[in-house]
Amino acid sequence: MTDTLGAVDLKAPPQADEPQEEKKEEKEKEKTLADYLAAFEGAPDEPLIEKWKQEFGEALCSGLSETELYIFRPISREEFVNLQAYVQQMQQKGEEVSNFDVEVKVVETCVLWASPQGVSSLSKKAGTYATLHEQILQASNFMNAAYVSQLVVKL
Amino acid sequence: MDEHLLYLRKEHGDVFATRLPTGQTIPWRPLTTGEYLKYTAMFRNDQYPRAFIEDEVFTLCVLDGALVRSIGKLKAGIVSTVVSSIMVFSGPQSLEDLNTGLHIARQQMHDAMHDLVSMICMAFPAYKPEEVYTMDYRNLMLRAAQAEKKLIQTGFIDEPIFFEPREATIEQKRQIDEQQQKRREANQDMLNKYYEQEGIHVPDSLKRARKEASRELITDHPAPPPVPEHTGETTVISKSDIMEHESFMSGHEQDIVNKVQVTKDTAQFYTGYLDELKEGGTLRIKTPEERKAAAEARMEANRQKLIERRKKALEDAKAELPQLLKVREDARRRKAKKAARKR
Repeated sequence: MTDTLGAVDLKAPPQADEPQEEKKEEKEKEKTLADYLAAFEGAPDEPLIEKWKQEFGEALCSGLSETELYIFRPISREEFVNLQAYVQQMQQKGEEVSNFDVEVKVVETCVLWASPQGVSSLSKKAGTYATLHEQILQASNFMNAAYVSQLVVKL
Repeated sequence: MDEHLLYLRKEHGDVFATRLPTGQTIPWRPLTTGEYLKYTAMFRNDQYPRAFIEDEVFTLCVLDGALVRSIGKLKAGIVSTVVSSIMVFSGPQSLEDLNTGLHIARQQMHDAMHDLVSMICMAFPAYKPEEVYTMDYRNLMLRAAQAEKKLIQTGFIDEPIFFEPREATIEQKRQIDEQQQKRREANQDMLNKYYEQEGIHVPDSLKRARKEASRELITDHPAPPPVPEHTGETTVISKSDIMEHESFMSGHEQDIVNKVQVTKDTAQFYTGYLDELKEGGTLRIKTPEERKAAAEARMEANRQKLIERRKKALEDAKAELPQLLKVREDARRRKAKKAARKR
């Protein structure tokens, strides 16, 4: 049935087109992270991501926006302890080490790759380091004390 | 409980485990009280980085050797997460936690078996509660019967123990607790006055032990006689008063009372020492030679006394002799007269 109001011809879409749209959506779902990363210059390919997974156990990707992508890994215990020792050493020497300095150290240690816009955001947007630092700690299994007590089981 | 936890229990026993969201399960034991206090102080002091101390606690408490050996390669948060659980389950985080824990333990204490363990340790101080808990049931009952007998003999309890189900309501329990508290205070008041009157000094360790042992095992304890009211400036507590309260004394307190009595009874043998103590000087223990010389002097003095006594007896006898002779002569004359009358 054709609606003659205005210039818009509202016709029921042909049913023969529906299976084609579903196929298009399915193809989009099959895209991997590497496919998305391929849009960025210098992005790691799948073999490199697999290598990082082998080396660090996990490789995670975080997108603060469509163009600000970061690939990072969890921080290991040894690195964390060395960082704390470094902070205390500095404090004993009388040099102040702020929380921001610690966040920068963690991000610099754990971020494996950043998109060009992401690199730029590190210096242009104040919360980038803090957000990435928080995500890295979460990926490293740092948890809220109240939540942790619920994970304990008496054998 | 899933199979993995059952396996961990079989491997490590009655311990705790942290199940991480990733599926990993880490078995650990809580810190002992001494360790908990030590590490709490270390966390507070800030002498070492927190991560160092966490690694130490992780190494000490986690029972999976492979995890402990590869601690450097684990994710940083796993160690901190597990250690925070260990600290929470090893000790109180606040005074409220402490009060809550004590309240929970009091509920556990309602089990009559715990009362039996306490009774055995009270009667036999050489036993520690941990040793009693390792006994099997038969030995435990035997020790409990022996403990009961000893406590009855020393007067700490009046009659054999009989456990009854706890059916009292909260209000009744409160009333029973109040009555018991009043009885304990009355006993302690009487005891303190007696000690003060007799000049007995009770060591602080015994006072603390008395406070800890003040929890009564039997709810139907007979009421002691009331504390006499003050009639004048001083209240004299007689021996009969204190004997009425002796049954409420612990074995240690009765020991003190007995010691004081023995000291009084044997004071005559230690006059010299007691005099030195009264003068406030240091006690000088005599050498064997001095004691021998003193003994010989006493022997000589006693010999002289004996000689004097015998001399006096002889003089008295001599003084009485004419009288005795007169009496004998009179008796002889009466006998002769009687014989003559018969003829």
